[in-house]
Amino acid sequence: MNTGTIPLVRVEGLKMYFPVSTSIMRQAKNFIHAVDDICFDIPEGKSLALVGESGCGKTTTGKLLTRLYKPTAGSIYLRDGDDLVDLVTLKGKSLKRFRRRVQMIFQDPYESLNPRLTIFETVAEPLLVQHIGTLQEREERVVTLLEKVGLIPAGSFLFRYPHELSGGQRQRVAIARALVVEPRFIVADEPTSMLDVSIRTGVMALMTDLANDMGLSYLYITHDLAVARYSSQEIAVMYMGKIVERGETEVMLSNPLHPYTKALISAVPIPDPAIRRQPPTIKGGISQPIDPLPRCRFYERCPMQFSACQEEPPIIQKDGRQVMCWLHN
Amino acid sequence: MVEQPLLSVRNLTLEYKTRKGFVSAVDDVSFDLMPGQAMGLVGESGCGKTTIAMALLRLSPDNAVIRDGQILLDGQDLLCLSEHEMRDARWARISMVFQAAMNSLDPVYRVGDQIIEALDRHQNELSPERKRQCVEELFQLVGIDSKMISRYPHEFSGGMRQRAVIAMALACSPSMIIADEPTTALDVIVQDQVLRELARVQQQLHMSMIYISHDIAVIAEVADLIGVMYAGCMVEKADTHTIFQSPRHRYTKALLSAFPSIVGPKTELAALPGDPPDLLLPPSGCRFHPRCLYAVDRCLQEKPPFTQVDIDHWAACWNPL
Repeated sequence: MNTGTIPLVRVEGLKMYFPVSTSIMRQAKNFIHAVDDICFDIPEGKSLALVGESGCGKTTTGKLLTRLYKPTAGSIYLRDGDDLVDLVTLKGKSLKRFRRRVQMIFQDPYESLNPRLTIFETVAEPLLVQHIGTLQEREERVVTLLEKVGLIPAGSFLFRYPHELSGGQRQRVAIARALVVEPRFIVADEPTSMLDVSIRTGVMALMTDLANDMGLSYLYITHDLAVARYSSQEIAVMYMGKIVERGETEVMLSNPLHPYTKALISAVPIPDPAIRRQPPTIKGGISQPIDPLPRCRFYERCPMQFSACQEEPPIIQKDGRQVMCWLHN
Repeated sequence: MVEQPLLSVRNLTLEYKTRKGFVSAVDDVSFDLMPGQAMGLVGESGCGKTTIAMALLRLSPDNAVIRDGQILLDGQDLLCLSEHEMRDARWARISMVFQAAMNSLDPVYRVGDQIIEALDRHQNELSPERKRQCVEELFQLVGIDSKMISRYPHEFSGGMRQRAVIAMALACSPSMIIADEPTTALDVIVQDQVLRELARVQQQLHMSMIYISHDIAVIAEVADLIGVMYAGCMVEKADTHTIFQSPRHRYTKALLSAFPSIVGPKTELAALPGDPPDLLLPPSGCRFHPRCLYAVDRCLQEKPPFTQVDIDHWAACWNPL
């Protein structure tokens, strides 16, 4: 088999249902379909941005891919040499070994770093957990990485605590911690949304450089399409647990197919007062997908709805794009 | 006759007293706002945007010390008013939509009653029926169904709560409203709706507005003129088009080049080196000089004055664009 065609990550029919309990004594009858039958591939060295409004299931997808949740159904394959290994079937030692290859960067660098650990202890902790290297080797590795993420001179950061660092520096520490076990794939959940504009650009550029240097792939979770444009080659738009559209970033932004993607793009403010945007044609907010009807999830809000939309739309593939809408059937 | 500004902030200088010393949060900030104008105040966290807003309403925390300056609303210095007089002015003449306003509603009172509370304080001469009618009109104005008046905050969605808070700020028909990051916690589609509603109401009622945000794209859409803040100083002020087309201050330019957009060609984003300064010990001279790629010797020694560089265009830079 040609290795070029094996993706780094392949997700098939992934589902995550959370029970809605009305009382602690009663068995749940209703389920939130947080992630409902999604499929995608991430090629080696490429990144996919997962965008959508709050509550659409993007963070749940991230947590499934790092196996912080066990999915209700479906498979998550990770490339291992020429094979694909299903992470859902892993347990115990093999699951722990897999965590070397998949890491996560969280949104809030004020919450995700332990305030009682020094920067050295924070970044070296994954090595300790995975029993990698001697103390000296670990120290060398931490120093190299801190320099790589732009915390220079590394020596002056090693024995400081998170509260002594700025937000941007903390997020760089979190990135170093994720990279220390040399993963291939990183789930980054809104890694720059807490940072100021002037700092954010630097962290985004760092993540892109690291991906190019180390051959990393990201699943970049964000609510901000402009950030997605600058972080990933592909964008997947999520709506109520479904991926409604996926495609190459520039193509999708200039020519969205799904009515929801169109609305999302037209709602983004433009940093240029000379351009007047058309308001999006949809109203209201996203609701919770509790036992949704078997029809298009976007039905109630869609300005283009017609009779076929009463049934669940198929996933239509064309020109390397994927769209889940009857209009394009 | 020349139109008088509604709000005129003169040399406002404010420090916070902390255990480690005085934090210079706002340093010599001056600006004017005409009736009906919307001004955007943009800058990064800790640059003094919210501090200015709180000072305008005289709601600064106890450890804030106003060193100098005047806040003239219709020619009257708010800083000289007694607490009692200020209470009359607050909400009736100048009101505010707070940051994370969606959580600023009291969960145990009906939303309508919370708005009536403001009317009780300032327009108590109205009959209860008239007050309720006022709230209905306000709800209509911001686009909420008037049936929602007797509902509780948890029955509102985020966007609706935000609108309710805007309705509350409008309750006593103030001539000036301050909106502090009112849409930051909202999703883009809801944000778009709230922004349009706010802009429409502001124009319809001919109010002046100060819109505070870190998001220059949002500011570009709502503001007539923009004040750019950095580390407690206002570094540039001009009308919105001028700020975007021909910024003069190096920080403004850097901020614009660091901001991603989804329209137009995908240009390279330029990152700014370093971090914003610690305002316990602000840098000498220009506070931006440690991060400025175009700093000259003078920037290290002397604070650049906020001078007029063009018609209605002000900037504080020794080496402007």
